[in-house]
Amino acid sequence: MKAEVPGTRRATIIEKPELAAELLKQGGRILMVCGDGISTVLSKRSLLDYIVDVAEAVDAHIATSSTVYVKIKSRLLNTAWISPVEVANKASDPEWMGLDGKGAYKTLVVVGLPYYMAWLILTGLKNFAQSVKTISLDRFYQPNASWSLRNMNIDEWERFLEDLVNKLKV
Amino acid sequence: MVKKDLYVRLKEATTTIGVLRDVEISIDRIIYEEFEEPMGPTPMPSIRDLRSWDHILLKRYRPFYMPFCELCCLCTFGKCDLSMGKRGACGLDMAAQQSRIVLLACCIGASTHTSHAKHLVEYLIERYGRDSPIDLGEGVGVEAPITRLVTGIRPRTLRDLEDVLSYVDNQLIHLLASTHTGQEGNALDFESKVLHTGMLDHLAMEVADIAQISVMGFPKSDPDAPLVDLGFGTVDKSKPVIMVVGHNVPSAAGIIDYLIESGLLGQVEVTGLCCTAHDATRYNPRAKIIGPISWQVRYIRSGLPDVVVVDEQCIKTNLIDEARKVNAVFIATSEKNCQGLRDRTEDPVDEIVKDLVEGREDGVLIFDAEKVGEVAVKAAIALAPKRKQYKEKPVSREAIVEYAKRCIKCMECVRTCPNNLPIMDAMTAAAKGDLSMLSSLYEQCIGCVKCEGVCRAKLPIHSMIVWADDVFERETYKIRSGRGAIKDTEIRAVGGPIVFGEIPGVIAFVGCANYAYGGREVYEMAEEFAKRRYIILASGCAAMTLGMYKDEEGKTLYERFPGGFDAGGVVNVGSCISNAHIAGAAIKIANIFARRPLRANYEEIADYVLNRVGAVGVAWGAMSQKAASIASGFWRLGVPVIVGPHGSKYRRALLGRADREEDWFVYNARTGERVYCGPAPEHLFYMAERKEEAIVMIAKLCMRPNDTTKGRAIKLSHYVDLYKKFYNTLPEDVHLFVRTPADIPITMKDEILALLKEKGWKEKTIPDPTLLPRLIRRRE
Repeated sequence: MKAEVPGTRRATIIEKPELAAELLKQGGRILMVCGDGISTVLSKRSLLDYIVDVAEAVDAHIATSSTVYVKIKSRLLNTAWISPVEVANKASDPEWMGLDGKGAYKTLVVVGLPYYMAWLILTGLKNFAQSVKTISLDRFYQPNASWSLRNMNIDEWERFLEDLVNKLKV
Repeated sequence: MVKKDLYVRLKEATTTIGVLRDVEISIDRIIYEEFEEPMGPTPMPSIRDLRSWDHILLKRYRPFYMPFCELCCLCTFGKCDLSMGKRGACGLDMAAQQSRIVLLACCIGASTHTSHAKHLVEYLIERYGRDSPIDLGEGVGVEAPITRLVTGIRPRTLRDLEDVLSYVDNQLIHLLASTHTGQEGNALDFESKVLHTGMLDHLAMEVADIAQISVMGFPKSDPDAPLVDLGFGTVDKSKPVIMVVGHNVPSAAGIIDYLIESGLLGQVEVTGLCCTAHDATRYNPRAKIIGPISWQVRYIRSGLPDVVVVDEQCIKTNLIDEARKVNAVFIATSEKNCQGLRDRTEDPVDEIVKDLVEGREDGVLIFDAEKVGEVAVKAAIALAPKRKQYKEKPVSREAIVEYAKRCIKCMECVRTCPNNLPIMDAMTAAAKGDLSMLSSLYEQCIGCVKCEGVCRAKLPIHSMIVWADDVFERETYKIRSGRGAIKDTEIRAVGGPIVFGEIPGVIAFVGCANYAYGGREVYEMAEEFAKRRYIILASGCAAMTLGMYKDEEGKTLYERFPGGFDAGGVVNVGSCISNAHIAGAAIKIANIFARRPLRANYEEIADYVLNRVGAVGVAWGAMSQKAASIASGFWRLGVPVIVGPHGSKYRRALLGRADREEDWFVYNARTGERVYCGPAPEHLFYMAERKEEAIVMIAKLCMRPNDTTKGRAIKLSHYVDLYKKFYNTLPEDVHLFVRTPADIPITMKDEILALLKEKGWKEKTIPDPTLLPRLIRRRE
C-alpha cells in the first residue's frame, strides 16, 4: 500500500518530535501496540530501546506478540502478550478496562507492524473506536491514524526517535 | 422429496388417436431414496434455517472490522463516505458495508467452486456416463459427508451430484441478491449469510472432487498415494514441455490421454502449476508440479514451456503476454477465461497446430478437452526444436549487474511490493557486482510482478530476483499425490483420541501462497506439529509449499512422515476442492466415532465439532475469494482458521473475548446445567503477524471443552512448551484452560500451580458440552 487514503479523513502529520512529545504527554492512558519489527536494529540502538524509553517516560503499557516480548517485559512490567488485531478489537469496546483492568486507553500508539497490517488496524480503530486517538511512530505515513510521521529514511527516523525520547525525559 | 424433471403443457395436440386439448405432462424424479438413516431437521437448508446457529457463533466470535475502503461505490447514489459513523444513501453503516463486501467475496469464491463442479460433472457425465458410481475407494462408506450432512442426499451416481449442485445454485442466487442496494442492513445477518455461503462452497467442492476421484482413476483415499515430482529442477529440458495452469483438470487429462494413446507418454513433459497440477498428478503420476500459483511467471519466463494451457482461477490474466515474449503458444480452455482469443473448437486439429507453429496465431481458444490434448502435444513437439534459444536463462549474471546500474533509486518498487522487499538496496548492491541481496529476496517474492509495472527504468526486476542465483533451477522435491478422502476406518482408529485430546489436534495447512515472509514458515509450522504427533493435512498451494523444503538428509516432509490420517501423519488431500475432505473428516468423526446422526443434521454436527474436535485451519498465504469462502465454511462447522498478516486484508476478524466470562458458557448435556468451559476455541478467524505467534495460537485453538483431563494435559503441555520455546516464559492465560488439577501436565506442575494461585483459580466442571438446549438429555 502506498498511503492510499480509503476515505475522506486522513492523519495529521507530526513534523517535529516536540509535537509527538506533547501528544504523548497529553495522551492520558497510553497503550503502545508493537509489531515484530520492533526488534529492528537501527544505527545506534534498536527500535525496541527507543520505544521502551518512550513507554517509560509516559507510563504507557505495551502490547505485542513479538518474540522480543520477554525482553520488553524485563524493562517494562506493564507489557502483555497479545496480538495487535486483538488489541484493536478490545480497544473498540468502550467497556474494556485495559490490560490492567484500571481503565480504557485514550491513546494507542502503533509501531513495528507490517505497513498494511498497521494500516488496517488503524482504520478499524478510526471507525470503531472513535474515542481513542491513534499515533503511528513508523517511518511511513499512515493515513488512518489520528497523527502520523511522514515518510522518512531510516537515519531521519532514528534522529526523530532520539529527539522524541530526549523531549519526553525533560 | 421430489424434483420436477420434466413438465410440458400443451394447449392443443393432434395425435393419431384424436385432438387433445389442455394437456399437462409432468415427470417427477424422486431424489431422496430411503436409506437406513432417517432424514434430519434441515435438509437443503435455506438462508434462515441455520441462522440461529450462526448467531450463536457470532455472539461469541464478534466481527471486528478493518475497512479496506471507507467508501461504497456500488450504486449511483455514491460514492458514499461511511467513515466515522456515517451512513450511505441506502442507509448502510460501515459494519454492514464491510460484512456485505465479505459476503460478495465469499459469493465469488463459492460460485467459482460451484461453476468448476458443474463443468466437471457435465464433462464427466458426458465422458463416463450418468450412471457412473460414486466410489471413493475401499474403507470409505460415508462417501460424501458434507453432501449427506447438508442436503440429506446419499449420492450413488454422477447424476445425483447434479441435484446437489442445483440446490447450491439456487441458494447462491439468493445470497448474491441480498447484497443488492437496499437489501440486508444488519452486519450480523450479512455474516450469517457469509457462513451459509461457506457451507455451500464446501458442498460444491465435495461434489467436484468426489466426481473426479470416482471416475478418473485418482488415488482413492490411499495413504500411500505415490510420491510425484515437484519443482522446476525436475523438468527434463531436452523434451518438449507443456505447461498447464489453473484448477480444472479436463484439459490436462486430455493432454495425458493423447500422449498415452499415441505412445508418447514420457517423451513430452506435462508440467503444471496450482491445482490443475495437483489433479494432473492424481490422474497420472508422471505429470510434474512446478510449484504454487506464484511460480507461474518465473516458469514461463524460463522459456522452458513450449505450450501454455490455461483453464480457470488464479491465473495471471496477462499470462498470454508472458507467453508471447518467449515465443510459446497459448491455449485457453474455459468460458470463464477466453482472453479475447478466436474460438477454434470446431476447427481441425492440424489446421490449428499449423497456425500456432507457423506463428499465424499465438493463442487460441478451444473448449474441447480432447482436442486441447492433441493440439497441445502436436504443437509442443513441433515447436520444441525451434525454441532452443528461449530455453537459456532469461537473464545472465552479467546482464543483471548491467540492469542494476540503471536503477534510478526512486523506491517505487519497494512501496509497491506487497512485502515491502528492499529491492532498491538489493539493486544498489547488485550494481557493484554483489547479487547476494537480490537472490535473498527470492524466498519472500510472491511473483506478483507489480514491481516491474512501476519501475521507471523498466527493469525486469522479477527475473533479476529469480535468476540472481540458481535457486529456481535447483528446485527438485517430492510431494505425495493428493489422496482425496479420509477413510472411515482411519476415522474409527483416531476419532476417540482426537475427541478426547490424546491426539493433540488436527491442523490443516491450506490455501494460497501470498506469504509475507516466504513459504519456509509454513514448512516449519507443519514440521513442528508433525514432530509433536498432531495430524497434519494439506491442500492446494500450501501442500506444495510443504514439499518445497528439505531436511539435512535431503528429504521433504512427505518423505519423512507417513501419509495416513494418524498422529504424526502428513496428508496431502489434493487440490483446492479437496479441502472438502478436511471438513469431511471432522464431520465423519462426529458420525462414525460419536455415532451422531449425519443426514441433514448440520447444526448438531457443527455443535459437536466446535465443542469436541480439536481442528484448526491455517491459511498462511490466503489471497483469493475462494480462500475466504472455504474459511467461512470451516467457521460454520466450528473449525477456527488462522491466516498470515496479509490475511488482515480480508478486513474482518472473528475474535472471542477470553476476558468476557459470560461468552464461554455451554450446557452440560448430561444435566442441563450451564457450565463455564473456558475460551476454547478462543477465536474463529485470527490474523497472526509472525510464525511464532501462529504456532502458539494453533496449539491453543486445538483445545476443546470436551477434552478429557489426559487430553487437556497433552494439549496444554504443547501450548506451554511452544510458548516457552519462542517467548521464554509461561503463558499468562494458562489458568483459563485448567479445569481441574488433573489437567496440569505433570512436568509443569509446580510452575502452573504457582500461576493458578496467583490468578485466584478455582476448579471447574468438565461438561458434556453443547450450545444447543435441545440436545440436553436430562434437565435438573
